[in-house]
Amino acid sequence: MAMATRDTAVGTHLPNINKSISQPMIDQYGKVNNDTNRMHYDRAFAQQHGYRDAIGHGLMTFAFASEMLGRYFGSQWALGGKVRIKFIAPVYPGDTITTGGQVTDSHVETDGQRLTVDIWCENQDGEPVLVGEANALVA
Amino acid sequence: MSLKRTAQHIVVGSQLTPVEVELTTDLVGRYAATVQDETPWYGDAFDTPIAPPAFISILSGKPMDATYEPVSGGIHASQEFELLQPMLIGSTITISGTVVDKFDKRGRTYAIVETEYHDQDGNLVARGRSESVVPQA
Repeated sequence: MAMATRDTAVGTHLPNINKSISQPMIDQYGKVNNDTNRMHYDRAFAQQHGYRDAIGHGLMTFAFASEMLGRYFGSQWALGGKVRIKFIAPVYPGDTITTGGQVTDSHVETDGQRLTVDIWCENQDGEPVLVGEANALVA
Repeated sequence: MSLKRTAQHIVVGSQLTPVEVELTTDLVGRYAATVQDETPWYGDAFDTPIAPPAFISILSGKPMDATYEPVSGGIHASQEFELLQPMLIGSTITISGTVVDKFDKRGRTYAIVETEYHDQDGNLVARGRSESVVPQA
């Protein structure tokens, strides 16, 4: 059941989700994705490019935000949900990522009431790694 | 496939090679397990269980990979998705795409790719737009 409703107020915070990142998780994501970019699996290669370790896939972090949005909007997230995100800092093995969101707009459209939310993911040090905006219709 | 996915080889206007992916229970299950997302309504909100909405992430890079030989060193900068219809387990999604822009910024080359996702009945189920730093060589 969706948490968002037509009566959801601007300013409402979304319940967050926490995920622990590990190199095996990153490795598995790469296998499912058929991805071979050594930035994600080879520490020395990533360090040559300015990172302190191999980095997680940006879209893996997006999956966490999408899970948060799916819990909040329910099935409406899969029926007309829109998202726009930037990957602003690397995610490393050992990080704990916390998702966050806040409702910024609610208005009536032809198809129904649309809620817009600012979304973000941050690491254990409170540093944002992903920022963006998402919206979906609410029942 | 002879061209590598590097700044000098990517061509703006490239119609990327379409790729078909069958959304098997195994593939979707492995994805969901990897990102640790077992949200219950994926299984019963629609007539058929669906892939987690973020599963589109697994599909979005495939046309580029099929057209330009992957090269390590790229970085994903931004992404947009429009999720028009849920992706049903058991469906086959065709991902098509176009390189719509390439530009240099602060010493790096960026490529923008727009993608479309159609199910086996030709229904448009999603759209995407990605911006990535591409390796120089």
